Amino acid sequence: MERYGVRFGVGKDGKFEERLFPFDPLPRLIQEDEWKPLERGLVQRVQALNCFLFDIYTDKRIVRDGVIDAEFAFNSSGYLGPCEGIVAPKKIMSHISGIDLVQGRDGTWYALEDNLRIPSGASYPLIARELTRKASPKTFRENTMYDNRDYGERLRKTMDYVNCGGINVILTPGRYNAAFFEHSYLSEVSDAVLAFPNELYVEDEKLYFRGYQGKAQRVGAVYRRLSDEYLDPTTFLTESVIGIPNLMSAYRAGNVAILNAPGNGVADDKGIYYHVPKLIEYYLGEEPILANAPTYLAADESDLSYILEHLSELVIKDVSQAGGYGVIFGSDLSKQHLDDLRDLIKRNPRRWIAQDTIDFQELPVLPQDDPNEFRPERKADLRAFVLSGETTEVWPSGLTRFAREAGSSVVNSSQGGGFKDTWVLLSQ
Amino acid sequence: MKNLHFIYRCELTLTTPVIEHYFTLRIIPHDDPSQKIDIETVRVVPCEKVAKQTDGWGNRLYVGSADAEHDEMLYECIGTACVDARCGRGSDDNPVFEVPSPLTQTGPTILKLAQSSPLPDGDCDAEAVFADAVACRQLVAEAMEYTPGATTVATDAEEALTGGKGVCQDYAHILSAVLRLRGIPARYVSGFMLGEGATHAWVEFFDGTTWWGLDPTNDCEAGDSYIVLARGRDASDCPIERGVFFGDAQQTQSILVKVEEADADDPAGDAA
Repeated sequence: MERYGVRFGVGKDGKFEERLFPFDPLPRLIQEDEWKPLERGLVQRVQALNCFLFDIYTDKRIVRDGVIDAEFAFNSSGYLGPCEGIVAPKKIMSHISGIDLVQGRDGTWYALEDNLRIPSGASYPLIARELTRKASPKTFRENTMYDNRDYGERLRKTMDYVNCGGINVILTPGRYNAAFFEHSYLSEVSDAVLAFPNELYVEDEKLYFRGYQGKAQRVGAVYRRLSDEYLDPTTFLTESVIGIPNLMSAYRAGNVAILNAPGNGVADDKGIYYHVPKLIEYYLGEEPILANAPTYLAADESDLSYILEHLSELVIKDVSQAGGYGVIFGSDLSKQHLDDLRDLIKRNPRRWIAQDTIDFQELPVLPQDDPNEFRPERKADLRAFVLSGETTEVWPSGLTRFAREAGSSVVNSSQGGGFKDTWVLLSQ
Repeated sequence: MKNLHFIYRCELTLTTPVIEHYFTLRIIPHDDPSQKIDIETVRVVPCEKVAKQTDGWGNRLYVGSADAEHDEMLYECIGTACVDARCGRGSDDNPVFEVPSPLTQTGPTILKLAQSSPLPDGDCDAEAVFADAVACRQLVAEAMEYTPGATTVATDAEEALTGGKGVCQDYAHILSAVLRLRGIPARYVSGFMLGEGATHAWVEFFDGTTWWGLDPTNDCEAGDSYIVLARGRDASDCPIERGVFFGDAQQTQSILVKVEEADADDPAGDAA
């Protein structure tokens, strides 16, 4: 892994550091009969989220029909005015979705978070499979599982489907990005050109790659690995030096596909998460297959009183904060802090949601820091990757992340957690 | 109804030459039944490539770049507008305009102002909404003192109202925030008004079927003397000019906005 540079970057105290991402060779095993319903649930969820994203920037049927409050949809930092009215190529908004799941002790899978902007992590199980196959060919002869090494091929097809004429590129902000390893690896396996911001430019509402000998090539699809606000300094943050000026003009004109579509933050907002089961019913007319973690909306009066009463047992999330930020475990708080939090929630209920803490399953790992630890187990989540092109498909693998400390629920790689490959076993 | 001749001209001077100058401009007024536009000139100098587009709010964009070295840039739009605001400013509703936006978030000061007059009771027909919107406009005009330099382009409604001083952008943000809190959809407008000086900003509200213009800065209706350039949730949706270039230069901007009543026989006016 070290030799292949399987790293992620951490910015700390103003210094950039790359760290090896700890790998545990014991894979997470999912049986095919367990995988199938999970797969259906993920496809359904992502299809509904794609419908929602497209609707919210165009017709806004779901708001006009009174299913979702205008406040929830549009007074969210994820809703971007410059994306209003834009019809994304083939109407796909979230091409690569990373759905974070946990499995409760009773075996039920729960969706915890939908990452529809630039979810990272697919490259890790991919390279892990590559290397473990080399290290132990016998294991793979004697066990039959879905081969996950087609991710690059799947990614290429996803880009090809929305490509508006020209080459596919993966746009990386540069080598100091936390996921630079992944950008370069994915470009290699998907046959896309790895492009740095200064290699792309817009002319006449079209995007071009400068090319190696000064011969420009038209770009039809850009899988960008930088966030919306930096994407185009003539539309979003003017001070962005890693963006492509006027990129939005090429996108608005329908001359380039941007994966994922800018503005997707409106659907991975924690407030919208609560509504995903409703989105599934509204857009697809189906019952949700995959469960949401039981969630309470402080803006709802009966939910609010439940939250205030059970605060110490709940996970409280600030909907205005992204990623792992603004997540508070009630059980970690002193009485004083709990009272303070109650006041905050009462003052601005719209800002908060709360979830039951799910006691999720632990997976066996090799001994970590203490070599004598007997049959260690760690809590782990699963990021499933769902690709939306001509069809919506789940990659039969995924990134399993586990906590560094026994008993801990913090699986973030920046907190020292590691990863596992995920095997979906074929039934005989 | 008024025939207005307008000139918008912006001259950028750069301290050292720059290259690869990209811009996205909103300098061409909306063309619709309430204001029929006849463009005489729209241009950017220097400029190699330019495209005309429309954004999601219906604003007309002028997007392009100047790649070769230059230390000056000019962009201008000259034309006439036949403005007839009596029939309103369109009828397309959008639920986005019902809720706060980045620069019109609700804070305690905004909330207090919005609650300082009783909500109209009973059925809110168009007439009642109109009267309420005008009352809000007066509230904002009274609460603020026109003071250039007290705020910046990034100042939001709450901050401006708390300071009590600001310019047309702040007035328009505060009125938008107040109207939305009172259940009246509102949108921010930037544009020109009769006279000479800078660009102006005001508000449009929706009475259930039609949008109407209100100018809180001058405490009046935004009628036939007003030409709409761009609309959005707040000022962040309607920047008139956004540009970036490659080069270590400082830029200074000189902007001319001139709107005069055109002679009816000569709609082009004195465009010399």
